This record gives sequence, C-alpha cells and structure tokens, in this order.
Amino acid sequence: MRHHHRLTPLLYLLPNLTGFAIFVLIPVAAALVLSFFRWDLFHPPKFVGLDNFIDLLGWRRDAEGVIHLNDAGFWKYLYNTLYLMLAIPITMFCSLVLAVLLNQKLPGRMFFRSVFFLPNICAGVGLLLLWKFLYNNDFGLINHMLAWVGITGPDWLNSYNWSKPALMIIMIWGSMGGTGMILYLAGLQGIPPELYEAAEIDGANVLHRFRHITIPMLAPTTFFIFITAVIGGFQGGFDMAYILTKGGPDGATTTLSYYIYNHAFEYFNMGYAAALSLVLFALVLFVTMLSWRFGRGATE
Amino acid sequence: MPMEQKQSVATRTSIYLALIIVGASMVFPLVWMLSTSFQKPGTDVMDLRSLLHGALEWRNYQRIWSGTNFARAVYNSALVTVCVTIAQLFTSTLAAYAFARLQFRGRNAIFMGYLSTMMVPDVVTMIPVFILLRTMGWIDTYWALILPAAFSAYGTFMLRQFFLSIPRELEEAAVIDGCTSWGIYLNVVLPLAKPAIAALGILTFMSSWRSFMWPLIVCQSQNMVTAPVALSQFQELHGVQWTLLMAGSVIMLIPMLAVFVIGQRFFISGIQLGAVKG
Amino acid sequence: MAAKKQPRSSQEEDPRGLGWLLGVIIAALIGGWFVVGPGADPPADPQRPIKLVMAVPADQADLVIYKQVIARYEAEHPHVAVEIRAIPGNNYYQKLLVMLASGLPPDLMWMGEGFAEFASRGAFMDVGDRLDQDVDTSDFLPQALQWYRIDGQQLGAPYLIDVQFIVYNKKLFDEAGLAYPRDDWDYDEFLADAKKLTVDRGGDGRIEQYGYYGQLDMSVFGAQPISEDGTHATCQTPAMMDFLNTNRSLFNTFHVSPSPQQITGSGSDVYTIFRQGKAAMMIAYTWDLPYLREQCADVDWDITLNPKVNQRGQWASSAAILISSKTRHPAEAWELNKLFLGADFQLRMCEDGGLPPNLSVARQLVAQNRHKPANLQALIVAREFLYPKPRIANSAELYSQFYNACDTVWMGTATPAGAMDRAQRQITWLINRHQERGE
Repeated sequence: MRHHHRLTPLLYLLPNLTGFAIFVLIPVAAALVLSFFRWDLFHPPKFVGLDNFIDLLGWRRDAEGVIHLNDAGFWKYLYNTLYLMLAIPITMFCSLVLAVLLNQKLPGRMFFRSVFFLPNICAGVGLLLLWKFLYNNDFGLINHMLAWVGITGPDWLNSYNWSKPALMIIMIWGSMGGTGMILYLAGLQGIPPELYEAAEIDGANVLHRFRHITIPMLAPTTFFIFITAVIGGFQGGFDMAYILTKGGPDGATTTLSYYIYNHAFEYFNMGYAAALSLVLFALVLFVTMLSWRFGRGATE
Repeated sequence: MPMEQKQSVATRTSIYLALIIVGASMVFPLVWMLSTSFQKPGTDVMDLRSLLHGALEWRNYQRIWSGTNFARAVYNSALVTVCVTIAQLFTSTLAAYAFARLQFRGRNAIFMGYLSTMMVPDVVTMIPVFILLRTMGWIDTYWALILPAAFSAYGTFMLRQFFLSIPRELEEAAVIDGCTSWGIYLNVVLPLAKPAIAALGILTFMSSWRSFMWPLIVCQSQNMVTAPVALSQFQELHGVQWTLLMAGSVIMLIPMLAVFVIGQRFFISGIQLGAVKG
Repeated sequence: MAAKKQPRSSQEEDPRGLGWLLGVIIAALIGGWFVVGPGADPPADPQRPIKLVMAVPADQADLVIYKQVIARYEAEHPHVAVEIRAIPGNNYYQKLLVMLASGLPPDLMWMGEGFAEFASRGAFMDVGDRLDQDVDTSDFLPQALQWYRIDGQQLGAPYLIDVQFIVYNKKLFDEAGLAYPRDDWDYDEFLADAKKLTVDRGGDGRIEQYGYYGQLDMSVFGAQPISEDGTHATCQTPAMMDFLNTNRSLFNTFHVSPSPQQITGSGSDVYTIFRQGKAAMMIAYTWDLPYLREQCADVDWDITLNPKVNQRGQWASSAAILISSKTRHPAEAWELNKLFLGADFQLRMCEDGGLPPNLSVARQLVAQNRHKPANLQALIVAREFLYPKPRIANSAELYSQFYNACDTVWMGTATPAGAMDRAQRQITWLINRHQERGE
C-alpha cells in the first residue's frame, strides 16, 4: 500500500469528491458566507459585517446599568440543546448492551433485532402523538402507572422542568435500537472470534472479555457513533418539539435547530439564521476536534 | 462443563425476560398503527378500548391508493431511494477506502473538510442547493431528488471507521501475494466490510425513503412528488384523519421493514483470522 | 490466490439470492419508467404560450373549487395555461419562501396570516387601479379592503374572513337549567354560566366537564402586545393586565377552564373533547365548522359571540389570492385574479366555514344555510367587532416573545407584571434593532 501511484488515491476519491464538492461544499460555503449579510429572502442580501454576531452574542446595558443579553433566547436554547444531548451517552450505552445481547446465538435474535428497530421505522407524527397521549396529565398512561405506585406524576410536557426529561425519554426509547444498535452489530462482526476463544482459555469471565476485547475493538465504531450523535444532537430536536410542544412552555423545549428554522423561515432573517449556524458550526467543530484528540486510538 | 451449561440457561432466561419487556413497549406503536389503520374514520384513536373491536376497514387503504396519484409517488420514491442508496454505497466505499488505507498529502485536512460539512444545518443550505440546481436546470427532475443526497460525508466517515478496524495483517498478506490496492479493496476490504456496508445501506435507504423536506421543496409538478409528500398532501386534503394517516404510514413502513429484515442478515461474523493463516 | 484469502462466507446469508432481488428491483424500476413516463411536466402546449403558476395550500374542498375556476378561465383565455401547485399547509410558507428567494416565484399565491410579512417586503403587485375599474367593491366590508392596503398600495382583496367565536353544547345548557347565551352577553353572565356548567364529580379536583375550554381572546380586553403601526411594544397596558389576570382566574381561581398549557398539551383534539361532553363551551374558529359538523354530528350545538369584557371583540383573519410583484404576465394574472374576487367564489369558499367579505354574499350565505350552526347570523353581527392582528413586518418574531412571556404566567412561574416587563423590554429591543438596520 505504500507503493501505490501518487494519483491512485485521487481515483478512489473522485466519484465522491466531485459530487460532494458541488452539492455539499458549495452550498455550505454559501450558507456560511450569508452570516455576514442580512437577507429577508425578498431583497438582495445586504452586507452588514459582524452585525449579526453582535446581535447574537453581544450584550447591552440599560439606563440603570443592568446588563442584558442581546439575544437571551439563544443562550437558553443552547442550554436546552446541550441538556437534551445528555441522552446521547445513555442511548449509546443501551445500544451497546442491546447489540451485544442480540449478537449472541440466541434463537429468535433476528426477530428481536427487528423489534428493537421498530420505533425507528414507525417514527413520525403518529408515534409522537401517541407519546403526547401517554404523557397527558389527566388520562395519560404514564401518570396512571406512577399513581399505582403512589407517585403523583408531573404534567410532563407542560412543565418547564419536566418537558425536557420527557423528550429525552422519547429519544432514548426511540433510538436505542436504531442507528447505534445497527452500527454496533456491524462492528461486532469485525471482532475475530479467535480473540474470545483465546481469552476464554486464559480464564477471562464475561465482564473481562467485554471490557478488554469488545470495548477496545469497538472503539472506532463508538467514536463514529459518538461524533455523529453529537453533530446530530446539536442540530436535533426540531420535529419532536414542533409536534409535541411547539418549543414551549416558554421556550423550554426550543433547541438551536428550532430557533434557526424560525429565523430562516418564520422571522425572515436568513442572515441571522446563517450566523446562528456558523456559531453552531464552530461549537460542533470544537467538540469534534476535542474528541478527535482524546479518541486518537480510534481514529488512526 | 455442566456447570457452565446451567449458568447459561439462567442468564439466557433473564436476557429473554429483559428483551421481551423492553421489546413489548416497542411493538406497541406498530400494533396501534396497524389497528388504527383498520378503524372506521372518526374513531377516537386515543381511546385504546375502541381499538380492540377488531374492525377491518380496508377502505382506508383503498382511498390512499386511489388518492392523488399515490402509485406514481411510490414509484418516484422507489426510484430515488434505490438510486441514492446505490450511489452512496458506491462512492462512499471508494472514498472511505482512500481515507482509511491510502497515504496521500492532505488526507486528514480533506477528511476534516468532509466531516465539517455535516455540522451545518440543512435549513440554511436548502436555498443555496435549490439555486444551484436551478442554474443547472434540474428543478423538477429526478436529478434534483437524487444528486444532493447521493454524496454524503456520513457514509464516508462511517465506512472509514469500519475499514480502520479491519486487521492490517489481512491486507499485508495480500500485498505479499502481489495484489494491487484495487485488488485489496475488491477482494479483501469489501467482503470483510459487508456488515458495515449493509448497515449503511439500511440507514441510507431509510433516510432517503422517508425524506420529506427536500422533496417537498424541490418537487414542483404533481408528477415528481414522492410518497411522503403525497401522503402529507393527501392528509390535508381530508383534514387530519387518523385512520387514513395510519394506513398511509403502514404502507410507507413495509419497504423499510423489508430492507431491515434482509439487511440484518449480513450482521454475521465476517472476519476469521484463521482464514488468513490457513 | 485471492480465493484462499477470502473469509468464509457464512451460511445465513445468500449473496446470490440478494443479487437476484436487486436485479428484479432494478428491472421493475426500469419497467415502471416506461409505464409512468418521464418525470417532469408534459411539454408546454404550443397553443398556450403563457403559463401562470398558482400556489395554494393542499385542501381538497378548496382545490376542487380552484380547479373549476381555472377551467372556466382557460376556456375564456385559450392562450394561457394555469398550473396549480398544491403545497401541504404546514410547510406552505416555507416552500413559498424558497420559491421566492431562488427566483422562481409563482404568479399568483394564496395568503393567510403571513400576508403582512410578505406584503411589507414587496411580494405583491399593486392592483388598486384594476380593482377600481373591474370589480364592484361597494358591498365589501370596508375594513376587509383596508387590511390589504399597505403603504398606500391596494394589493388585492380577501375572499374569506376567518372569525373566532364560541361553540356551545345545548344539551349541557339544558341539563344545568340555563338559557342559551345571547350574542350580546357580558363577562358576568359568561362566568356565571361557566361556573354552573363546570362539573367535578366526586370533588376530587379532577374536572369531568369544563364550563369553557379555551381562553378569552385579547380582543375583548382591547389588548395588543404591539401597537398597530408596529413601532412600539404595548405589553404593559391595563388592558393587557386584564387579559392575563382574567384568564388566569378562569383556571386558577374559578376552575371553569383548563389552563392554556393543559389545552396545548392534551393529546386529544378539541372535537373529541367537545363531542364527549368534556366541554360545555369552547373557543372555535370558522375553519372548525366543517369538522364540528362532521365529527360532532350527534351533539346539539350552536355558536355565540365572545362576551363583552372591556369591549366587544372577535379575533379575525382573512385569506386572499394575490398576484406576485414579480409576475411576467400581470394582465393575464389579473384576469384570473378577478375570478377569485367574485361573489360566486366567495360563496363557495365560505360555505364550509368563513365570512364572505362581500356583505350581500354573507347575507345570502346565512339565508341559505341548512346546516348547523343555526346562529350563523352571529358572524354577520361580528363584523362590527373584528379584531385582526396588527399588520407588522416582523410580527412572528415579535409575537414569539410575547407568547413565551404569557407561558410563564399560565405556568405560574411569573406574575403578569413581571412577565410583561420582560416581553416589553425584549420586543422594544427587537423593534429598535430592526429600525437601526433600516428594515
């Protein structure tokens, strides 16, 4: 492999790179450049320098000297987004456990894999409205069940404090058998069974083998799932919030992606939406670089 | 040995129990959707008792099929999805191989460039892509539906990670045998990465099959509409009718279920070091 | 040699079977191509060199009517072809914006609540002169025409006015021994009725039947978070405090209605709640009428107007077909647009629910009404008190600040005064920012 021709890699990259450059790179660059413009979608974009970023990240003092953030909403929605992303490690752990269980030579494992994947297939308006019904304070199943064990359930989706955990539960339930499980299943196939056999001869028990073979061997997969989940998490939460809570109450379930959508297509501030996206982009890039450093073993 | 057998029976039972309990909650929505899709219009679908009547209203399905050229929309969706999936798998495996195994200048920089495009939300790239396709004269053609989805950083990144985990010994043996990089790609890497390629295939198929926003934006004439868009038009044509909505959703999920059931058959151990040594 | 190196393929997969399957799928797709034909539109009809594109939300009943109008138009104008784009309503404005922003605007477009924001950005053609010349607007409600006049330009006229009202269940009024509400009732009568109609069986705090399901609209208080001209926030007026305090007392003190949070969070739709008798009175809008007729057919219901609190008022909105300022065929587009201003069209579009802006058409609609509600006349009475949202260029953005602040009052995490202080400050800042930027 060290002996290939200088241009060989180009041949492999060309089919993807050409399409990618045209249909992804150019639009992304255009979108990021827009963040230095104001654009209401009707008139030609107007260059405004850093104005959008001042409105977004800056602050001001009122007459009494009290400091107000220019866009208090942004910080709140950033917090919401990060809060909801706490579901990522939990989901990943559940996915890993499921994948390991369903990789055993259990009879019916094909059936169970499909069962756990079902929420991903059924995902949509109907499924979310079913959850809305389950969360209902008056007649929802969840609070009924909590009442049996003597707990007065909160009014999940209408409460400032409980609406986010409510959404997280849906996220974990819905995606633990999804992408993560599939990728872990695929990753598990790449572990040579000889490694387990050798470890067994050495007397390693199940947990040992899990810690010392499965987890390290799955590191590249875990890294991929983590990075894409973080990227997705920063951009996620729109559908769920749109259907279940409209981003409320008082913006408690509004995520950055929801806010960007609003600015782009409800508030006629496409330039501001682009600025938001650029800030988001910088954040995600930073987190990714950080994970890249710490996850070196999984990336090289 | 008998000791171990016994343990394994106990663990298996508890594993099954856990799987069944969690699994039941995941089957429930499907049962609810199926049951709702066979109810008479106007049934209170949130009243679970009414769903136990066992009504069999095929009319919901008939109405959808005869609705605003739904068959055409399903054909469009199938064509676009198959093309996108094949294109993705083809271009992603090649690029991922280059990123994982070939040495060239600027490899990491280009790869980070790939990755970073995933970090910009679709909402703001939508209009630039649309303008791009308009200047190419492709609005309202299959190209507009297929091309923007056919080259993703996601697939390349994912396969790269899997290729990295393939033991290098396998390839080194092939090099000694005089294989070119193309030969290694074709005969060693691709066969070993089958589970990963299957996984990417399933995920791409699903996301393309139910993609809604982009087709909605880019389809202009009724002839180019895809199934999710047609369904959403159809639902609004009839107010929100749960029974119709669910019948439509059931039609939509059949291909996804089929692809998953077929695709997961590839989640079978592919790597056996012994095969190389022998 | 490669064969030796290849890993053993497992028994569970059968690559040849999969290859066959793939082959069949591809063959089916290619075969299907010949059956359904290539994707894009059939080639333009050489007989009709001018093509008009009209964007409307996908709604079956309306589409049928649009198509009839267009068929009539195409028969009279053999050189014009009209293509209708039915867009799912939830994404209507988004798709329209992409079309406008990328230079492919439709020639005619439907407009509802989004009108002011599109109009203030110059999306529509001034049709004032043509309207004066070709359409008899003498019977039009003057305010309905006024709503479509922006910066001295008449951008069109509505074909339908949406009006908010209260729908009530007659049987539940009978059971409580109450007379049905009059259109000119006041707040005290409303509250007394609502209290008597609220049923808490067993006294467990779980209310089985609400007297009123909804909020009293801002219009009856004369409240408005932003001034009519959009130049300043008006969140801290006494009227606004009345709006917040009164509505809060409805669910907090008197328990006659669920809180706004409970209503938005409920999984069931309002028609089910009304049908099941869980609400004796309910806030409703003209667009609810077809669903009330269909889904609540076995309920004996009628409608009434909002009670007078500080003043009479009915929330209102309107819908129109307007011509794009970018159209290349203004004359042809106007000829088509004229048909959407006529009495026939208004009558047909409003049959399912809506107040025709033309008063004589409205009277005709009421006279020929054979369905529920019996009191359709109330809509005509309401014309005196219509209370639309101010037409402001950035209304969605500014209002979101106000609604968020209202949420805190409904949740009980802020006092009305505190919440409105916040809303006032943020809206003021946003207005100033937009003005500084010259928008």
